[in-house]
Amino acid sequence: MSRSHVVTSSELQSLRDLELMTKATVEGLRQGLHRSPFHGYSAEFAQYRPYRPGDDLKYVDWKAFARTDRIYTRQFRETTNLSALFVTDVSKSMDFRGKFELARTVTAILGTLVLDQGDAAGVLAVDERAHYVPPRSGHHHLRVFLAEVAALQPRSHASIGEALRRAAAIVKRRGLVLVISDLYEDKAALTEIKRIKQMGHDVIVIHTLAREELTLDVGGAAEFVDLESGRTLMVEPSAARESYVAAVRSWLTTVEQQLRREGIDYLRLMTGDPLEPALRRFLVGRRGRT
Amino acid sequence: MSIAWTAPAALLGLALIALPIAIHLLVRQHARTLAFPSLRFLRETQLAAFRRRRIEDATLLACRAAIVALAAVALAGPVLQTAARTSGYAGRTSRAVVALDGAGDSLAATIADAAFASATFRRPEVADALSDAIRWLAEQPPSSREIVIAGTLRRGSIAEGDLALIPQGVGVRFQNAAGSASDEVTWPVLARRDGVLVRIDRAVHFEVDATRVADGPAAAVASDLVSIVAREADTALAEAALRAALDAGVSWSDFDRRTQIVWDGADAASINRAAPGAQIIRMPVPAPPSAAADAVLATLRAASPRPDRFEPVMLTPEQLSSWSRPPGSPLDNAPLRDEGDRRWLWGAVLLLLAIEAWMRRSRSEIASVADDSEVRVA
Repeated sequence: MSRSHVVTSSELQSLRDLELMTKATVEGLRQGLHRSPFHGYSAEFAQYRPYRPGDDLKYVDWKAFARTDRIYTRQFRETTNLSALFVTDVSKSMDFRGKFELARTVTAILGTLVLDQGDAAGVLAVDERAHYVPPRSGHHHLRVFLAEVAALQPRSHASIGEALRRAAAIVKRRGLVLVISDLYEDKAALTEIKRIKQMGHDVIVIHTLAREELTLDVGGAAEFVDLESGRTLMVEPSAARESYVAAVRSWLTTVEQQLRREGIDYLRLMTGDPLEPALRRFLVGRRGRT
Repeated sequence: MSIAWTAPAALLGLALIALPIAIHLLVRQHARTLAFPSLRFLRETQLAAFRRRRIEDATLLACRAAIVALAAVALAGPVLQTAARTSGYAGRTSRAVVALDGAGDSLAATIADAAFASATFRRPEVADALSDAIRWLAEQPPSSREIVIAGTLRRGSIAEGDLALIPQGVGVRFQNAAGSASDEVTWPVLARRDGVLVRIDRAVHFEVDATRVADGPAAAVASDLVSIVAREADTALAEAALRAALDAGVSWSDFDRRTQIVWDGADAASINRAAPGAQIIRMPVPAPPSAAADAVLATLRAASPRPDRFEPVMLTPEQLSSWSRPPGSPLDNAPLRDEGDRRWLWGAVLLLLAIEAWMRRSRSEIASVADDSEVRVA
């Protein structure tokens, strides 16, 4: 997997915009959260060993002493930081009325938040090729991370399912996987998301949608062209709206239920909605659960 | 078979096809195409009018583009170069008639009648008329080309050098004005007959191959109608010379006015005395004396010249035959003329215009149906 090293001037401008927007939102979120919503696996129990003089008494397992009349000291594996991988959907269906910009912004904000708390963040998107920045920590990496996010563009032949499949193969250490997608490839995507969850990763799905996708509020009769397949359909929205909205709602409910059933955090974001309150609500809620 | 064009620049009009296409695209944009993330939750709205309209749109576009294309092609003046047509070019003749004189003019109308294209040229110099004719022939559509030189074909009326101007592929033919060479003129002659000065009306009849002269009856005129004065020493010679000249006879026009020939050195007093109010013609004393009669005759002829008529010695048929040649093949690069092929294209344009108008009307009906249904579902 490789990532582009060539940054065009438009991408640079896009990066600057992203940095500014991210900085403002992250500041707001940080003030509201006080405590990190993301947790690493700081001390994982490894084994007991007999107590030796000088061992810290706080690691003595007193319960074991009571049971066995022997003093044991608990030993832990080395402390690990959180490793977060953002899997961002760059399929053509994302290129609709600010939806992709929303996904990119959310990726940048949450990535910055992760990196700011000293953890590692990376990003993966797959179109004709893979755009991958491995999870790393450090302030210098923030720039690399944001540059990659800013360079992402919706393209044909992109697949979130494939990106998730690759993510499952890449991420060896247990960590956090954030999926940002419109989930139109729901079957493949949900299968991979569940698989990643079963691998022991913490998974968050951020479902990005344009408001018009829910309301079909797109004016009068028109020839609808599928952004991904190019298929066309003559639609009179006022006539189709009722059944469309019902179908979309049913689909959203199904997707959310499936994910929650698997213990996967689910956040639906819509274009036009204030982003910071929505993220804060979600992150506070998540902190409460951990 | 190939196609040639009378006005190929008009083919640039084909670029105007972009116009209906642009209109079509604009209208399509107006009709809205909406990119949407996924059609999985959408069902096609059952408005058959939309589908019909799309088909109508495409057909209408094709129709309009065809109208523009056919009109441009028609304006460019296509000429189908079929084998039959190409061979037909040789069968028609563009004819330039060079009229040498009035007789030629009257012949020209008859000669030009049967030609595919014809024109008559007459200039004071035959070479100029030939140049005009050659230029005109070069501008004619593909056809056999011929120059007919018509008029009274007297010797000297046209020369080989004039004919050398005519290009090789152009035929040359001569048309003699039949009977126009016959002419008769009568002029008076002053002469001495039996020692008396008389007036004779001389009739001259010009034929193609001969000239006949017939003198009318002689009428006496004043004996001093023509007199001569000289120095005293030359007086005898002068009078003898005048008598000899008048014996030969000289064309004379003014019998009401006396004329006096004055040799240099004559006494001025004797001039006035001999012929007061007479026309005085001065001349040097002829030398040698033997040439005196001819000199006096020449002076008299100069004073009253004969009518400017020539004996009509005609160009021989052999000469004309050697100068004649049949028309050559039509020029390859001759400018094309509309052969009527474009009328089919204009017909097609009219037909397509009618179809287009019908389709537009039909489409507007569909649109009204669509609008009605939109109102209903809304």
